[in-house]
Amino acid sequence: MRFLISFLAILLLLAAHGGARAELPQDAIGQIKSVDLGASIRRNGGSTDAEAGGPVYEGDVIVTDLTGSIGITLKDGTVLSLGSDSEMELDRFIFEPQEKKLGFAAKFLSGTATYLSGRIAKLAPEQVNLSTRFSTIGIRGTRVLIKVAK
Amino acid sequence: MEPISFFLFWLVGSLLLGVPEDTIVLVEDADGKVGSIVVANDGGAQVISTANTAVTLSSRSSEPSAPRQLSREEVSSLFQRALDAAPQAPQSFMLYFETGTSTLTAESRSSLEQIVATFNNRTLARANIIGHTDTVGDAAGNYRLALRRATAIKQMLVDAGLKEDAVDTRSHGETDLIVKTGDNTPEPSNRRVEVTLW
Repeated sequence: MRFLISFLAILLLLAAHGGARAELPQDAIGQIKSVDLGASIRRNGGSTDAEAGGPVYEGDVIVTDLTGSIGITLKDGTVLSLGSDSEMELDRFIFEPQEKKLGFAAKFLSGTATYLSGRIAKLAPEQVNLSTRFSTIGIRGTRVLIKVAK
Repeated sequence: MEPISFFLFWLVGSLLLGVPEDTIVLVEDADGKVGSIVVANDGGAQVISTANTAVTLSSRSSEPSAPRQLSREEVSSLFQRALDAAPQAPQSFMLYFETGTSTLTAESRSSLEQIVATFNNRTLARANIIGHTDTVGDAAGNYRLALRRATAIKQMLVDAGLKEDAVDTRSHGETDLIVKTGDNTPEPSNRRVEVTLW
């Protein structure tokens, strides 16, 4: 009996834990997949600690401290990460392929980052706008030159 | 049943503290594919289309540097922390259906197991399920059929242990064809559900 109760308690704990992790609000644009040490999100004038499993929204500024790093995946499959002492602003994210409404803009404000393109870049590369202090970065589609023999 | 890769480009942007330069590096993705990027500012533009190649910029108005090949050691010394933090790239699977039904073909039934195993191996995994049809029948009916297909797959995956609130479903009806056809054309490749784990 005691075994059964502990078993049920563990099951409940697992369910609660898993459930909390699995939720993602409809209006979120993506999910934090990993946080190592210090990372925070500036949103609506406030700042909160970033947590693995938590949502990210359009307009969020993601910040890591001197020891932190963070990994984020967006709903279109774009994959982003920041090294330590870094800052990135998620300016725009529109992913409605059925209505042909697509767009992504991010500013890399300081530190180091990685970006792996997602579906928005595949469907509408001209709608992807990445920028740093000194540059804008355009994602180009594959270009093919064809010469047909006479 | 080949997963579709949407991920042609993997680019690393950097503003190193203390170094008054932006460094932009193009690298290959997890499948070894290399895309192409254009780095531009008020001074000019540079195209990069080979892996581990960098352009640096020292101001908004001065021309970007010529592309320069970096060694693997240089790339990791600049970006190791950010590279280590990058989440696993999403993975996609295609499941196919018998005409006019939400019954999977025999081959696709076996790839359901692979989806479940992959889901369980990912960190904080989520599944995005999109239903599609071919062009047989009218658009409204196909929207509903594609939704039934997506919902049927969701139920199978939830029965196999996926958490319901980690799964999103939607229908693209007959509007998103893999093989372009005219109206009322049966095409097995278009009768599909796309499952992306991310």
